[in-house]
Formats: sequence, structure tokens, C-alpha cells
Amino acid sequence: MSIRRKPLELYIFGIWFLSIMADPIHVLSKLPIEIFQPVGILHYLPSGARHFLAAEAFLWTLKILTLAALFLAVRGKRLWPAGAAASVLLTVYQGIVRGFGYINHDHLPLLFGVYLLTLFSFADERTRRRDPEGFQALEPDLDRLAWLSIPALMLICYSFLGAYRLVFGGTELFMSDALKQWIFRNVHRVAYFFWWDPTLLLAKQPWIYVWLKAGFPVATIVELLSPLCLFYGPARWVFLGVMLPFFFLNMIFMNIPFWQNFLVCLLVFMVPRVRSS
Amino acid sequence: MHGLRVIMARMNTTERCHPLRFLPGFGICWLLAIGTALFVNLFTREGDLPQFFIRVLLNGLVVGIFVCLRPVRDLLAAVPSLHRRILAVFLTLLAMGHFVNRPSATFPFVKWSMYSHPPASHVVTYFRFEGIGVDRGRVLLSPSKLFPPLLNSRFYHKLEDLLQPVLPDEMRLNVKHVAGLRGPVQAPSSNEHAHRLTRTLQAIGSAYNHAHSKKKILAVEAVACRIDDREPWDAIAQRQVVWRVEMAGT
Repeated sequence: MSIRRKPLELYIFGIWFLSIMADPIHVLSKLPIEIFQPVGILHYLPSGARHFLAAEAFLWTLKILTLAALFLAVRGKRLWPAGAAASVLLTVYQGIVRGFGYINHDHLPLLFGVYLLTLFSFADERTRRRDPEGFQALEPDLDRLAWLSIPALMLICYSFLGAYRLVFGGTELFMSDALKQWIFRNVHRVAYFFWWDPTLLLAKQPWIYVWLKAGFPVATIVELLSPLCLFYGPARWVFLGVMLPFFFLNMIFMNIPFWQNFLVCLLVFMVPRVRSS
Repeated sequence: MHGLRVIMARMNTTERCHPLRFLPGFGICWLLAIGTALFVNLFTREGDLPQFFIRVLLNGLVVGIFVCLRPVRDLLAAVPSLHRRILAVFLTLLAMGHFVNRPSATFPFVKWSMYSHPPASHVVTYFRFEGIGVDRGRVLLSPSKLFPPLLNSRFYHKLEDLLQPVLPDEMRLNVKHVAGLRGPVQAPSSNEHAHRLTRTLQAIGSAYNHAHSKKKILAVEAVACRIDDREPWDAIAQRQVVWRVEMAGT
């Protein structure tokens, strides 16, 4: 039985819907506008637009419109018109959040998922219009393409990261106590998720740090080679066996719960099912 | 019979698909992305060229092999060219954003560089934000918790950037190279900078007071903590208050 695209659309748009719904973006209007540095498309707007972008009314409107676009994208007959609106709104949304904070890769694979599903929906419609009969025969392959391209593009990004870390950090990075420094810095940033201090655990059980340090270059090499892991059973399990604990350890030792990236990573589990469909 | 015909049709498709069929297309995308990145990096005189080329080679090899894998090329051969073009544009943008290293201009196509910067020394500086209560007691503030959209250390990075200019030299950010990741560190004497830092800490204090109307704080202090990574995990860090703001109306 062929695998359809709808569950994937529900998964990607649904995660966004829930995370936007739970995110009180309007609180950013309480921060001083002087620290707001627009990024992405907002970077190219005139400087006078900053006040408008950071106003409470605009942030509420942005949130409501984004939720509406996400909802319509999965509920409507055609995904791409509302999906295109959701793509633009989510890009603005994430641009504002990063404008007040810092540009990192959190949420980005999920954002790319929205872009890809929207563009594929548009391309499907054009293909269907040109050749309705041929399109029916193509549909299972197009659905498989959507299922595979989202995790594949994320793994390509991880490969970029792995190469950067190996080349820029080099042996100096892996031999040093950089990991210990990051743990010191990150655990003292009191975060939303955890109120515990893993340094106390590491003081009592120093062997944990030895394992973490030894696993760091291994995780980097797995990241570099990750696109090649997608289609081959044992390699895929090595990837998942390294990366899923990596996300978990990041959360407990670094105070960084990249749960959106983790949820996209779970799509790798679907690869055998998608391939056999 | 129908199933057999489908299998035969698939085999015919895969037989026609040469292992290197999509390599030229990938090469064009890759060269376009790398060429743009090289032009921008040379223009801005940023980055180390040999390192840049090693990364380009490593990633080009991995992604090039990926494109030649049988499951990938079979799927790419089976879908219309429009879908392939979408993926090609996407890959080009991802590579361009990663290698150009201008995240504020290219977002959401940005460099992925988490945990890549070796420390410049053994000393780690981290910050705590503390509220001073009516009874002079100290309350540990969590800026990320008070501003939840800036979770995942996003706010801390911004605050660290704001605090860098007011730190003594030995406490400045301890990484080998941060250009491109963060903005330039501003002069400590800048009044505008001091004003920005003060207003941000006041916003944190106000958010705390708003959430704790019965236990308001009178002031917010940014405390720089210093620790040597050769010391044991439970060593006590040296503390130094680097900035203090009074809360108006408390």
C-alpha cells in the first residue's frame, strides 16, 4: 500500500500549529526596541519598520494569521495557497524571534519542511493540469519524494555542520575541555525546561564526562556522513543510535531542548516504510 | 499480471538511470553556491580560504555520493523535472547560506556551526541575573523563562553580547573566533550601549515583578562568574557584579 502525503503534512504543519499556539510572542514587545536586530527578509526593511514589527498589536496579529494559515493549509482543498502564506508568516515570525535573540538552527528543518510541502503542492498541481492521467501514476513517487526529502535536507545540513566542526574546530576542539566549558556556561543559564544542575552529577560521576568527550568526535563524524545513512539499514540505526541520544544529552547537560529538530529527525524512522510503499 | 508490469516498468526506468545522471546538475548547484560564497567571503575578507575549500570538498563529496545513491537517483528519475528543480534550488540555497556566513542577511538559510569553536583559554565566564528584593535577598532570574519565545539560550546569547563591552578584558567571550555569529563588540564607553543594556535588564526586572506582584524586586544585577575548566565540576566560581539597574516605581 502506498504511503500518502497527508499524514506528513499534518505532522509538519501540526507541530508548527501547536508550537505557535503555545508561544507568547507578544511578550517580546516588552523588550527595548534597541536590541532588536532584524534578520532575513526583515533585514531589508527600512529601519523605521522595526517599531511596527515589535509592537504588541502586530505580534498578536502575526500569531493569529500564522495559526489561520497553518490550519487552512491542512484543511483546505489545496495546500499551496495557504502554505505559501504560512511560509512567509513563519519566516517573519522566526525572523522577529531571532531579531531579539540569536540566529541558530533551531526550528529551521521544520521551516524547510513547510517550504518544501508548499512548493511540492504547487508543482503537483501544475503537473496534474498538464497531464491528469500521467499524474495519477506519478502520485506515489511524489508522495515518497516529500517523505524523504524533508529528513534528507536536514541530514545534509547536519553534514555541513559536521564538516565545519571537524575543519574549524579540528583536533584542538576535541582534545580541549570545550565540552566542559559549554556545560559550565549552559547549565547556569537558568532555562525554562530544567532547574537541576548536572555539574553536581558530573562531580560525583566523572566517568560520564569521559564518555561525553569520547562521543563528541563520533557524533561529529556521524553528522558529516549522515546523508549516506538514510537508505541503508545498519547505517541508519547507527545514525539514530548516535543522534537521538545526542538530542537527549543536549537537553540534560546543555539545557538546549531542540525538540523541533528531534521531531524532524524521527522521520528517518519512516524511511523503510516509505521505500517499501 | 499488473504487478509484474509495474515491476518491469520500474526496472526499465532504473536501468536507464545512469549512476552519475544527476551529478552534473548537482555540480552546477554546488558551484553556484560555492562561487557566490567565495565571492562574498573574498569581498568581505572573512574566513580562512584553505579551511573553506576543505569544507567544500568534504561536503561536496558526501552530498555528491548521496545524489548518486541508487534509491535517490531512482526517485529523482521518477519525478517530474519541476520537482527536481525545486530540490536543486533548495540545496543551492542551503549551501549558499552555510558557506556565505552572513546569517542575518541569508536567514533562514544560515551557517550550521553549533559546538565548533575551540576555547581560547581555560577560563569560562558565564552570567547570572539576580533580582534584589526588599529584604536585600537575592532571587535568581531566568530571562528565558520570562520571555519564552527566546528559549534555547537565545536570550542569553543576546545578553552576553550586551554585557561583553562592560566586562574586564580577562572576562570577555572566550572563543577562538565569533565573527559572523555575533555582531561586533562595541566600545565600553558607548552611552548608547549602556542605555541598551540598562533598558534590557529593566525589562527583565519588570517582567519578573509583573509575574510576582507580591515579591517584587528593587534592582537587577548582572553577575559575571568565572571558573577554570581544570577545576573540579563542583568548584565555586568567582563572582563579580558587572551591571546593576534600579527598578523604577518599586
